[in-house]
Amino acid sequence: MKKFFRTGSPYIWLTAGTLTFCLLMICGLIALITINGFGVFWPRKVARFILTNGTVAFGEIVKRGNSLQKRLVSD
Amino acid sequence: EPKLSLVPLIFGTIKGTVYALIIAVPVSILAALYTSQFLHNSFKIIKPVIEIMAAFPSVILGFLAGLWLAPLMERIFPAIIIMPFFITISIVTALLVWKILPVFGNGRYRHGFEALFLIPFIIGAVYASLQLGSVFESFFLGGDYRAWFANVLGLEYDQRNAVVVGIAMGFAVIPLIFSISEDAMSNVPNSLRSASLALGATPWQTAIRIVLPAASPGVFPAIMIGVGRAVGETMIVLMATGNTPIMEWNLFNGFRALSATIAVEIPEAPFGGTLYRVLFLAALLLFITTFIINTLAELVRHRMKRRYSRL
Repeated sequence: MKKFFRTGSPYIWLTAGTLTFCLLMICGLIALITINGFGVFWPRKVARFILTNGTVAFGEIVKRGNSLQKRLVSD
Repeated sequence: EPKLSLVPLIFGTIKGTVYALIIAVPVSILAALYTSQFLHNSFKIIKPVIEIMAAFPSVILGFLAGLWLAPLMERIFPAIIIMPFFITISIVTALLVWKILPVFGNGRYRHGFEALFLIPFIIGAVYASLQLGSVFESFFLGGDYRAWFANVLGLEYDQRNAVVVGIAMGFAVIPLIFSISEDAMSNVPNSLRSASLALGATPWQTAIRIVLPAASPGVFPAIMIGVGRAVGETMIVLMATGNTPIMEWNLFNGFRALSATIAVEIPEAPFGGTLYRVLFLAALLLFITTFIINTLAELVRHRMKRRYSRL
């Protein structure tokens, strides 16, 4: 193991890792901006609900949570 | 007249710069070392790809850091903590796979392809740390990292903090340092490298003991230019720090930098008033800081160049 470290290849791999990390960061950033930028032209996901009294409601999903469920259980 | 203090602002500028450089300097210099010494010639296109980032408007980085990264990081902070360990583990795994697979270990893909080979491993490491972040949080951080930081370390966690700024400024500084120091390293005369290798030094020893010192007249100014950019950077610190003038070295709260203060206070300053004049003082301070840094960089570069020009 010590001999292996003395060949230096683990350190070379570490430097290779930093370069890969830089590349991924940059590509990720560009992808993020592109996706969010062009995402403006498409509508977000719309959810359709049928309430218990029969009325239908549409809306974008803004937040998810189980606060309603908790209240129903405690009631 | 109102009493104003510039000390928290100077402190904020120093804090932002230090944290940005802690992230940027090792990454960019090691990446430059790899690109100049080990990367296969057919992948030299990677350098312009990273240099694109140097021309990136910093307002985009600040905007993304403030609106996207800061809330995301608040949710997944434990995953961010374990990410460096996972990336290291993935590099070790990649190295073992490379040794085991006969095509890579001994075949014609011997060296220079490591960076590309690592891409899936590092993506996998990032994915794994995102998945295991909550497990880590529940086992080691008591299920709630904010409470753990507050109780055990006595640090409070703000959404807009120095880590976010460090990463965003790292984006701004890495391409600069990378590009300049890569130039310096690839301009090291080949005779030096050949002599070192002929005397039996391994490629890594040659890179770290011969090429890096010989390139240091170029690497040092690269770091200093990075410092200069980080000191003067306005939009990132303006958008991603929360601009609270607190004087703590805490990684997890914000700060207020001189440059951001100038931008924020302009509409508040009545013409000719105290604040108005203090803003000019802040601008002067900022200029003096960058001037001193650049002059020092130039002086040290000259001395180093004299020392190594005999080679």
